[in-house]
Amino acid sequence: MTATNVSQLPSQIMRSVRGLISAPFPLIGTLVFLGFLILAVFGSQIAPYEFDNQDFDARQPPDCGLGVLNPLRNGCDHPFGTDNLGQDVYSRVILGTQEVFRLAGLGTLLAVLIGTTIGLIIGYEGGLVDEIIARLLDSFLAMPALLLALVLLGSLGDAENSLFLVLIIVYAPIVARVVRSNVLEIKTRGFVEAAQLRGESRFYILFREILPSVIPALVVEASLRFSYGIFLVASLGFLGIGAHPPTPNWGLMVSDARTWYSIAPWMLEYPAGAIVVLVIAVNLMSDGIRKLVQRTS
Amino acid sequence: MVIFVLRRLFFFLVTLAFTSILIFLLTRVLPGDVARIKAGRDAPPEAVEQVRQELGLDKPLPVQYFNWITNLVRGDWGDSFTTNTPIYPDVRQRLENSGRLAVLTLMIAIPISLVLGIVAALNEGNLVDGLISILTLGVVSLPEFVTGIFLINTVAFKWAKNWDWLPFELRGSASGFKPEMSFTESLPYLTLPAIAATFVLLAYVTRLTRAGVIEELKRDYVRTAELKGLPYPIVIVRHVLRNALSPTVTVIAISLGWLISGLVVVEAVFNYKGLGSLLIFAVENRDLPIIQAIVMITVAVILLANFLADLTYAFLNPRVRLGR
Repeated sequence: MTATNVSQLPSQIMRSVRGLISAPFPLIGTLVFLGFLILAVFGSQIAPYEFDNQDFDARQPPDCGLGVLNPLRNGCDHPFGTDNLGQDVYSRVILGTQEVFRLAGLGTLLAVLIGTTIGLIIGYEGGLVDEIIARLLDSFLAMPALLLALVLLGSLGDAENSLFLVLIIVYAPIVARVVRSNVLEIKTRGFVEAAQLRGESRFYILFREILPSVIPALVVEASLRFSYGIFLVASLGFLGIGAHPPTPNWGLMVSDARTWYSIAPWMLEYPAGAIVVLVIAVNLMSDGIRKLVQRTS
Repeated sequence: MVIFVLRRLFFFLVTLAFTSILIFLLTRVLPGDVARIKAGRDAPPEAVEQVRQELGLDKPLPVQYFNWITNLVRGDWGDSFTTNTPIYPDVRQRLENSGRLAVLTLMIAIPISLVLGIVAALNEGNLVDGLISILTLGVVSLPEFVTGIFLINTVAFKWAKNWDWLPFELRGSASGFKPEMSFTESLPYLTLPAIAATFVLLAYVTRLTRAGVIEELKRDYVRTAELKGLPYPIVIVRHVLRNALSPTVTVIAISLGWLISGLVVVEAVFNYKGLGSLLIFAVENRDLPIIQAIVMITVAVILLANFLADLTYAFLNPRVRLGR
């Protein structure tokens, strides 16, 4: 980045901010995402009950619904009702946020870190190793994510952190592929050649010269992977694989609520709604990030 | 053209080979002893050892892989760990059932999403385009199991309950489906699951079509056709769509992976006896031979579809086959 570019940076940021405000959807998406993030971080403090705390009143209808947002909260014992075991749906939806961010959020983050490292190295080194690893990554990509996840869970079994590991193995190859194709183009540019001629170390060239140019594409990819990750975690939970009751996994909650739908629809509606709202929010946000990156680059 | 086909065929086979190795390794190398899974958790060490020899697990990995893949090609897919019966007949039947559902889904999804994609592209940037993109965004954010449950609970249990013109057993969902039925006979049972699966495809195919048509609209020949005074509809239908829709085969091939993932969930929701629900059963019971066989077939189908799509595309578009 040259000196003139640096001085232009504030105006660039201003332009981005103005763009964000003029297109309200990405902004709304980001705000909703941040709201969920707060729920994930402070979930244990916000949720009135433990996720497996059982009340004697099973399948009690919601007493105030979204009225829980009212700060006074009069008569809000179970805002989203209770399920067939008398567990508080409101608390379980909040603690489910924690579960989603722990699995999909942290899993995606680690997948991005690992995938980026692999992509940077094989893209920069090239040669036979790159060719072989790239083929191997392709064969990972030949399998739909859900299928790959099922194969992994079938052979790993339902161990404690299987789901976490699965997300990393499913998404790291995809990220590596994106990074690799970016690196292949970037490494031909002058500034990389200059660094090589200066005799910089390989580590310096990879992480200080090439990585910054990859970051825009990486941010877009990461937000996209996160939204798919939420889906994957929920779908596997729904299929009853890798998550077991009483874990507050949204997909698992929806699956358990199916049989009770006609008499206790709230058991299904709130966790299903949470999945849909979070996924829409993340999609809007990632759409916004993509446009932002395209505009500034 | 011959060189192009051979090149594509080579890539298809190489990716297939790599993927089969990958599937084999994922089910063998990861922690979890196959012989112990088969013998049972509490089996004595001697029994585990015996199972290990029966399954040939004591041989070196490359030999095991070679045996597995040759048997797979020959149609000998081994025995299920849970039922101890050959898995081939069961998997074949399930494949047929899933294939039926997949075909019906494509028949519903492709025309709708093509129309939506074309309309969005022709209205690029205005209100109609915005509405369609909000629609696809909304649809893509709905998990298949949520749409499936919604369809069952409203269409099947609330509305169809009062439809006296419909025979009673058809008002439920896929549960009345029997594999012996002909395609038309099974249609009523398959419609709801197919609609649920359509939602998955709709967004992707619409977006890809929209992008394709917009790209085509920017080409020089479109301006030429307009400048020589052709009416706009003719420019669109005769020139733009003809070129923009030839990659549709590719679009379908690309979205096949999405369709298959979607079907796994949809089959679970509707309790439909397809490949997906068999896979779930196999994963729950750690029935590795079934898992391997199903995933291998699915990947082979996806790669084959991509290969054929490449060929069709090249056949339709001389630039592709001569350009390389």
